[in-house]
Amino acid sequence: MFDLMDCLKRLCALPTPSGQEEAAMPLIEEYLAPLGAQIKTDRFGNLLAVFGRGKTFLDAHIDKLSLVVTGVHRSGFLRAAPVGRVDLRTLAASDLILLGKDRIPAVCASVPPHLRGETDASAVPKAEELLFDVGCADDILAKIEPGDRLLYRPAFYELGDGCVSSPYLDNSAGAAVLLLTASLLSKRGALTDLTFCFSAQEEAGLRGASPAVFDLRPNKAFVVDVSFANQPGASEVHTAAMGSGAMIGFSPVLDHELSRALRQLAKEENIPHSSEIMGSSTGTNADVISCTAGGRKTALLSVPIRNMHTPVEAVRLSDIQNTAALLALAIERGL
Amino acid sequence: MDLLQRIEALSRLNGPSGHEDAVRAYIIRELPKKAEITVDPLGNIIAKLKGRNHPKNHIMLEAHMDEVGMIITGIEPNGLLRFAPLGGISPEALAGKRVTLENGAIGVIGIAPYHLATEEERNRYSKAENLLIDIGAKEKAEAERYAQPGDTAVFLSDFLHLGEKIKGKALDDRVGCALLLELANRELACDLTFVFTVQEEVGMRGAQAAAFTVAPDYALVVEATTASDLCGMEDEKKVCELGKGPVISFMDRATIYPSALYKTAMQTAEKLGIPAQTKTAVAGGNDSGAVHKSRGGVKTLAISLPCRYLHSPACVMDQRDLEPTLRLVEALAEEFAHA
Repeated sequence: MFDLMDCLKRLCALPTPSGQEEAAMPLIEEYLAPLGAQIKTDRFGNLLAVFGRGKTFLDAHIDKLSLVVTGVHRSGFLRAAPVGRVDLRTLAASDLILLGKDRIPAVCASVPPHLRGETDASAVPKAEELLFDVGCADDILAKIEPGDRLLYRPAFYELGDGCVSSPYLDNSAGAAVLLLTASLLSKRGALTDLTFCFSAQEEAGLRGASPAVFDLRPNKAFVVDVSFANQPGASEVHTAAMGSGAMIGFSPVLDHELSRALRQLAKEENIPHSSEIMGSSTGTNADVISCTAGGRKTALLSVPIRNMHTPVEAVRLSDIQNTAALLALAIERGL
Repeated sequence: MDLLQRIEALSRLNGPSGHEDAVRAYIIRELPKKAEITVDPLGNIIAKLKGRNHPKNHIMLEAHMDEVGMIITGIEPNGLLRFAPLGGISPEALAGKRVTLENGAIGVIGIAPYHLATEEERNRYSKAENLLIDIGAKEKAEAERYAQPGDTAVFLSDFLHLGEKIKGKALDDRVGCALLLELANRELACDLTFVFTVQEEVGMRGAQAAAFTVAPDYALVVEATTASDLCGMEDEKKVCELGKGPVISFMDRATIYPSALYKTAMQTAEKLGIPAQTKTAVAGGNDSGAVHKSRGGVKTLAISLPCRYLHSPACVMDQRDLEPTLRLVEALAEEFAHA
């Protein structure tokens, strides 16, 4: 029995900032090796689970938004720069964890505006003004070096009605879709010629997907990521309701026939879904995978989440289940 | 129970202004059996304890039990909760934070993603009235199972050690409560009245009622006070510093402390070899504001503990300030009792 809550919780807790994805290896191995996958990493750091010839490529990035320590001050404060689009509005007074020689708890300092030379109390600090408080015991500071990473402290809370919140549903939700898809396909004996790629460095600028695809030259690709759920302040044009199922991407960079086939399949099989229409590229690994090494037909499925890139991302588990259900069926039917 | 464990236990309890029940129950349980305890109509605890002698002056020691939080003001059709802050919470401490509702349900204060925000929205913190608590409910009817208007919420934040510092919610003023509990459980040199107040964060309301009832000659208020001792900050902007001992104020925005008391406190600290500091800005305020004007006036002094990020989920304080503060409060209580 696949325990989605437990799987998601463990994915969210992995210390995998962009560039340090190897920490996810034991978990991927635990889920996919028993199903017959050959588990490996490539030169770039992507984690791969290959079934058969692996010609259909399923991608979910496994890296997490982070900050990199740029300075250590003996008073017990660190300077750090975001790796990816960290939401600076939600950092102050947030709990973080420093991945150095040890795991060291830290708090993002809340610097009062007048002390930043701001006259406007509502001004958000710039990235270079941020300070991270680790206390100031010398034995702790000795364990911290520039280049160490800061992640949000792992937190995983159940909200009401099948929703959970964590800083790292992006892209633990996508990775959970892949693991659940593998489990579903395994039960139906349909785990053939597939590569599950848990790709590196997406948050740093879609960097890992291209080397993975270059090496493997898949025929077709399905990318799974998170996208914007409906919430106040986010235009309905760009979002899907929480609980509305898989978001099927339509974009010039995606294969239109494949997107349409996915939507048709979801309709026929009564799998909750919505269409996510994008006027240009998708901002996901699909942008890269679709045109690297000769290119291939690429589809994008997204799980709607709220509060993306904040410490309180929120997802409804049924949306992960429905995205996996649609993906598994699409693979089984040879879409 | 050692002091740090007591602080951790108190930090974990939820007690926004007007809803201090859990904190009150804990404190009453932890006060010595021999204490003569009354709870007044507002919920303040007044605990009288006998010491070795009965001094001429009646001394009141006080700390507040409440913490900053939120009160639910309404439920949107989409199931999100509107709220108003209880106490002064700065806007950077709200968006993207977790909260616990009165019935234990967990919610998050949402914010539309960066990616979809305008330049203006990215560079400005949202006002509290534009933020909503998300408890996972699909619609209003479902949300009503978790929350009703008038219910409260508090920050959800783990208690952690950062080197010799501690981090948690509500350290303002549960640290004060913990220190007074510690003192109350010691053998006292003289009779003392310990008061644990409600509703400090919404205007020192509990203290006003309690000070009237207790009618002390002298009051010592044990509080957390804001420290801006961040890296790169000029000394005069730090207000006070963690690890440099108790803060003895000459003035804040609610009280002009009697200079005789201020001087006595500084001299006592020096005599006992206790590190002490003053606040280098006339900022903040505490229950002293209500206590010193009570009845015909009460000679009042605040002894504060420096605290970073005061009204946020992540108050940070220094363990090394605890014992010196306790010693100073104990010594001053005796000194004022016989003054």
